[in-house]
Amino acid sequence: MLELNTVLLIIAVVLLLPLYMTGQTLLLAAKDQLNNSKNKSDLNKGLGVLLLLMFFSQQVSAQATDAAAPAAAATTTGFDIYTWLLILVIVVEVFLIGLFSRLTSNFFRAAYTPVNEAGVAEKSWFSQVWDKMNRFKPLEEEGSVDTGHNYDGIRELDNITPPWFTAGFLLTILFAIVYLWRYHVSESAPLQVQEYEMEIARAEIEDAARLSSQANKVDENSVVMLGPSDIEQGKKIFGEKCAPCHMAHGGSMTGGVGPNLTDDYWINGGSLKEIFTTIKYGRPDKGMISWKDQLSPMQMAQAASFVKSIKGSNPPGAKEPQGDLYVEETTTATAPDTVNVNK
Amino acid sequence: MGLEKFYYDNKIPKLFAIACIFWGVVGMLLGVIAAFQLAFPVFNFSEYFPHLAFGRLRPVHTNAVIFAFVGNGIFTAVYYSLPRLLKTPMWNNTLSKIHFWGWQFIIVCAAVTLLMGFTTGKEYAELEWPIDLLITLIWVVFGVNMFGTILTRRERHLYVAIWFFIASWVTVAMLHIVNSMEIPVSFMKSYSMYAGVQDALVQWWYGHNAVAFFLTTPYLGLMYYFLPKAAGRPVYSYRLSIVHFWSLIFLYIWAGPHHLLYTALPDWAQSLGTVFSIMLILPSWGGMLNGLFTLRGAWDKVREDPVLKFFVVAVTAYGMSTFEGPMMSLKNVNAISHYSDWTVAHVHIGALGWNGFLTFGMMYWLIPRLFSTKLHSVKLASTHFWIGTLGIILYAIPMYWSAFRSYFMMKAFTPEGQLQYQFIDVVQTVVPFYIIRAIGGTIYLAGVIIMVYNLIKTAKAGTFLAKEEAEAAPLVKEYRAPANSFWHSIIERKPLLLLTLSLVVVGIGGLVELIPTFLVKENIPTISSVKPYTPLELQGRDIYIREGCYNCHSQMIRPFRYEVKRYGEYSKAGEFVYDHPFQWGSKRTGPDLARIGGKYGDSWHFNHMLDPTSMAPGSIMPPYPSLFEKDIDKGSTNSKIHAMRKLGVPYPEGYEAIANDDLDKQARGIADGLKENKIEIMADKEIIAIIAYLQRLGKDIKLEGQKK
Repeated sequence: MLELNTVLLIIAVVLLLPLYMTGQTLLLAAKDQLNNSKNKSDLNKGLGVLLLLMFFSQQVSAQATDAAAPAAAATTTGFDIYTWLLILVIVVEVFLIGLFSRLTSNFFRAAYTPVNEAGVAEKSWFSQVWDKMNRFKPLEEEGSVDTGHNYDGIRELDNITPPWFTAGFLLTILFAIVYLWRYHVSESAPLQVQEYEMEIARAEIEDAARLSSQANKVDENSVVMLGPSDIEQGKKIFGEKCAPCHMAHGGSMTGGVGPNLTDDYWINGGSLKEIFTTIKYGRPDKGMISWKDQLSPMQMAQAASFVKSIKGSNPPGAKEPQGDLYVEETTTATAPDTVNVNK
Repeated sequence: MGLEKFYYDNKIPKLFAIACIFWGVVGMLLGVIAAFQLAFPVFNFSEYFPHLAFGRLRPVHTNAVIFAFVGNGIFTAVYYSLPRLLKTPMWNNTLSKIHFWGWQFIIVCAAVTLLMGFTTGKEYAELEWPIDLLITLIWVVFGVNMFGTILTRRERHLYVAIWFFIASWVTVAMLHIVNSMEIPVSFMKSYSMYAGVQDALVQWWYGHNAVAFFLTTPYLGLMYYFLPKAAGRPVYSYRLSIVHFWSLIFLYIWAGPHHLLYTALPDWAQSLGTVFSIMLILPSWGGMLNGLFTLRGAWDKVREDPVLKFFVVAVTAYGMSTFEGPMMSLKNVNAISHYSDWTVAHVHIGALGWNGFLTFGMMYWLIPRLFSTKLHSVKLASTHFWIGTLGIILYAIPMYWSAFRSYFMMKAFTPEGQLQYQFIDVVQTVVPFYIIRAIGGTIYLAGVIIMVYNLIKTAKAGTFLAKEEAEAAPLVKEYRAPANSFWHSIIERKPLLLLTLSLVVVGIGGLVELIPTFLVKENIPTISSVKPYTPLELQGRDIYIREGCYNCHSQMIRPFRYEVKRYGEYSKAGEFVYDHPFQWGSKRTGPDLARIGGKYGDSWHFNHMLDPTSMAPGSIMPPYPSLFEKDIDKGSTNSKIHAMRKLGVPYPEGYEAIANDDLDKQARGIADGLKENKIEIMADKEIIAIIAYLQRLGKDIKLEGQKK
């Protein structure tokens, strides 16, 4: 079954061809005109704009491909942001095709403007359609719809409302009925909480698949001290996420928010497992936030290993000790480097 | 029957025009400053003047532009066009003067009190109760004067511009009164009568329709007078006027809930907001079509005349934003646009394009006529037009861009299933866009300055025409409509009928949405663990409101995976039952705070308020050192608790007397805790109260979870 986004994508790509062709035609017509023209400066200006538009159309095709990649990758069905993007791209393409054709015909018209017998230039195709769409009365016949109202010199005509206006209005009313019907009567469209539950269910399936990958299985029971390149990664994470409270060197400062992590005193325990637990779940009562939604298990293990590695580094201006003295039970075995595996 | 001679007064329109331009410059200047504050926090100057921080300045900007700039623009148009359309002078010149000076007095009061931190905390309705009363009074003066004029008219039928003026007047009165229901705690402090979800619904019913009936319908009236005048063309379609007038005012009022999609507002109300917004597209476009089609046969003039150029862009901007608005009311689009810069871009297309350009066009047409001369420089007016257009483009595009970028960043997950970006990463990404936006705003303002110069030169070159003579026959008592006249002309002959029908038509939507939300209990399921704020938290909450934190921080987590991961469990309706007023916010320049309680320690908040960048490098939040110096206003605790109980918050009888003891105890606890972290602060400082409030947010429902 074809997905909506795929269909839109195909349309967007197919439209690139006429876009390219109309653009090329326009360019040729413009060049042709340039060769014949006496007033070259004006046309040069026109060409500048034209080239800009051509460039723009290329941008659009680039965008189309940009939007296409994730759209194709998206596994979910239905209307999402890529649908909107694709629709936008298609609208822009159609607009440009129309514009290019119109400009091309303008160039031709400049060469041989068809003049009717009265000597008046004929109306363009566009304005003819526009007049029809709105069922415009010719200006000369305006008198027949004059209401005779005159307010401080303002007269009022009584032209009919444009037919597309009425149709459009009825269409939006129909939309409203269908919308309310689907959400609240037939209940065939999900309300916000159902929508959320569906989203979470999808994410849980993905989570389960992910957790089966080896490196991320690490938790507070299985965490081990990691090697130097992992510690280097941990240092980077620490600098980004932890430094505001603990300073980049981990020693915090007098009056600082977090405790000193370089001394032998620990509020929530100083073993690797305890540090990992503190990072993972946080200690909300003590002001330490939980990181499990922002760091992966592997990243938390790296950060915990970094914290272990700075013990005794004694940075200048570090905070005074807090909590209880922690004595290392046994020397922790160092696990093999996982950074490369992890990538 | 003899013709009667009378005079149109030009003094009042002139005064309103001057006020409009003056406040316009002030309001836009404040907007530019606020824009630079978001790009460069140093412009908050909050270390020296807490009054100028973004949270207090932004409401002054919005109120100045809406009620001072556009408000005076409306009154200029009404006081100039109404007498001419009705062939009679304004009914009572004293009332006109009271209206003018009263409105300017309100504006000055508003600016001063908002900067001082007196605010109700409800967007576009921030003014405190004494000013609300004053507004009501002056609005009535305006209404009496307008109806006095209408009832003493020499023109039998009311022109479409006047329909819009009447409907706007009556609807604004209704919105203002219902939304301003508040219980005074003291002079310049009150609590909203409504709480939480109900307060949110009333507020956005008001907020959306302030846009509709203050920024849109009166300006449609303005357009219907000045556009055909300037173009010298008849209005395109009388029946289109009728169709779009009635459908517009009927449908508009329903659309308020589209500001609350994916919030804790009941689903049915959200859906009504969506579908009525969609149905609004064509009725809104009716005004644009009637405006643009009126220019048929005058497009050659548009190329030359700056007045018409401004009108064309204004009407086009109106068409664009009235299409964009309904699109943003679709749930899946709103998921992107809500809380983002998209909304900001959208309102500025309306404000800069529609209101701004329509006002400028009117001024370029009106001032030369008031001074019986020609415009000083058509060329400068054209320059203004191009500069203004450029300003709008430079304003809007970066905001759209920023909205999309931040949306993609906010919802990005790493392959490990973690959020890819922290909030601060998003902030840093959008700051460059804020810089371009600020430049766009500056350019737009520069155009306005050019206009001021041009108009002053024009006025100086001419002589002011204080009175204009006119003559017309009085209305005869016995009138028989021609046999073939259209039924609607009956309404046009009976202004009070028109007034009543308008009120009925706008009343329906409000009643259908508000009454069930207030009466049907299922709409707001109660949560037993949700308890009233402690006295200290309540004081902290009032500081939060005073500093305008809601201008950048929401307290409403939407049910999306990426929001729940970032901020915690999505917000439930029952959590807000003691929130008078609600503080859901409408824009996330900073992160959501609905569940900030317990996320960080007290010392984190302490340091963060003193210097936000110390805890969140790259933050654009201004520092709040004044909170560390000012004492908690304990003298108000008694009356605050009393007012809250009157509103139904279950504080025990007589709790007022001992509330401050509880307050002191909780404050000491926080101060002692900070002391353990080597932070010395007295327990009676405001920072303690705001920490207490922030640490409470969103916690009640976690307790619920633990019980299970």
